[in-house]
Amino acid sequence: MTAAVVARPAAASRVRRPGKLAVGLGIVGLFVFVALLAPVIAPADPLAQDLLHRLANPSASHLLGTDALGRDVFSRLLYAARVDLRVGVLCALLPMLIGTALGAFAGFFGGVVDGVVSRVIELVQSFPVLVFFLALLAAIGGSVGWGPFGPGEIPVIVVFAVVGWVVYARLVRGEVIRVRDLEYVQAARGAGLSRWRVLTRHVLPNVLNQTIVYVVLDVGLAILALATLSFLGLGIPSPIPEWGTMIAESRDRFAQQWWLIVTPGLAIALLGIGLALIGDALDDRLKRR
Amino acid sequence: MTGWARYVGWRLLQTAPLLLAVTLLVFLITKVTPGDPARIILGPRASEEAVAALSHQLGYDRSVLVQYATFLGNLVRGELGTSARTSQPVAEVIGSHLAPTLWLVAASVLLTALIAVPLAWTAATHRDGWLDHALRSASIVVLYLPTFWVGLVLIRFVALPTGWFPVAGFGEDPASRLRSVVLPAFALSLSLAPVIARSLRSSMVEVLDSEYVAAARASGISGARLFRWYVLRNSLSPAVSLLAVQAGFLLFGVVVLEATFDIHGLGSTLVTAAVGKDLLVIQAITLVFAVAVVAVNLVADVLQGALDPRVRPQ
Repeated sequence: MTAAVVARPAAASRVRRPGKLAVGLGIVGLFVFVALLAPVIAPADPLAQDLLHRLANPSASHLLGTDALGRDVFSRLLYAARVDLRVGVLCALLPMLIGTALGAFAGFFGGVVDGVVSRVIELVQSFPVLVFFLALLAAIGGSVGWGPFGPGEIPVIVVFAVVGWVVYARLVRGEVIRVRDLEYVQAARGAGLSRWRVLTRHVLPNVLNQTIVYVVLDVGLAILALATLSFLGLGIPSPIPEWGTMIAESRDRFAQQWWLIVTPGLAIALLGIGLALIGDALDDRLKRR
Repeated sequence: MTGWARYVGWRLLQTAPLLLAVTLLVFLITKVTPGDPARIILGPRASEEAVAALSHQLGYDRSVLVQYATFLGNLVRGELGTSARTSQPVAEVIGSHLAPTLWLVAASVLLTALIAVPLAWTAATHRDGWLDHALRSASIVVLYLPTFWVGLVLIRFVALPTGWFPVAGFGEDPASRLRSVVLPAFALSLSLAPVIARSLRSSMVEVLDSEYVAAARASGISGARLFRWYVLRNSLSPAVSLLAVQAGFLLFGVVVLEATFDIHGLGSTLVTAAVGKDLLVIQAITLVFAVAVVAVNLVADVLQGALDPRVRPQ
């Protein structure tokens, strides 16, 4: 999330605008489709081991071959979309909700709340956030699943919520301060509406555009971070199918069965690019209006 | 110049509370761990008495405020405790793993600059050309390429077939050390360079369109001289501050790539410590990285003043 530099549209790219949104929606739609229907479309059980046919080359029965435990890699790749999308979306949405609330509060009411929120924003900005993620995850880590959450998911989501809200708080706080003193807000206030009502009905709807663009990009970055943490052994534990975990599992087979590693990485990148295209297209539209 | 000296002093002063807050965050890492930290250090087979004794010795039985004060005091004296896994003093762990990390950081920054500056210059001078468009797309695409995956792909498809670079580890002499950091540094600069290049490109465009460049051109200055003395000097400062903003991202990349390439620097040590719940090592290395980011931002601000007199306060 720290790496995200939201790109501004160059003049020339506006010509191709309709294409971007369609391609992005197509890619992301495909992933959502796969995630929802994995049990129906996957040819095999992603956890079923078949030691007699381990490390098989791609064939008609195993489209991407099998891994060191004889599991069907294609099915694991499809099932991984479930974990990555679910955790990725939560890891972007929760920080967005917390950050938007705190940022709006700080920007609108000012005072002590603003002082505290601003200091924390400054602090986190001058902190290697992802390294802190890793340290915090190690400290909390090692969870079993709970309710709808699989093993390892809750610590990741908690860490993202604890640290990730700052980006949104900064964004929303700045926007709220910008519109706070505009005429229509002053008019709403002058009409005797409560401050809460002014904030939720008149200020927030007008500052959320950038936040929505950013949260779309952030889902991709969260999935990337999740896969990286899993690859390092701190995210989703084996044998659960997750793209980063799959890469870590097959790491020493890379010289021979390179597709075991290349395909999960391509899935992460493709999903990220799809989300980036949607975010970029939304950004263009909002700027045009 | 005195104004600038005062500015540097002011920035240094601002850094003090920031550093204090950073130590607080790092201190809190051990406080969020479920369970008794003394028990984690000693392992499940240690006796209750031993755990209680260590708990007392480490001050875990006192109030959090006292513990934080003790932590700060120890920090000032350079006492970082001992690793729970290897029983090595943490200060020693850091000292012995520092060199590979510094090599990797230096190589990554250098490679990023070597890629970003020519790219930005070509894109700025051939506006709306294919490279200009490619750079825009690339700066988005590379954000989503997992660096560890890029590293693995480089190992499999460059290091293995050519034999030019080691597939893992860190060399002994400078030449082999350089060879061991080339691929991880390239993987890292691949994700960083397009972002930096885009920022550099837009400031170069601004400079190229300015009146003084037109004047320089009219007086017959062109090519390398124009680039070096007129364009690069004036467009570098936003790129430097962006690189500083990305310092945390860069360090995380270093952590990931050290683990990927099996280079035993601070990053891979942090990962090993994190997987093994070696809290004091995690704490110390996180602190080193955090202080480095604060320092880089400070240096970048000062450097910006040196590169561009316009940002110096009067």
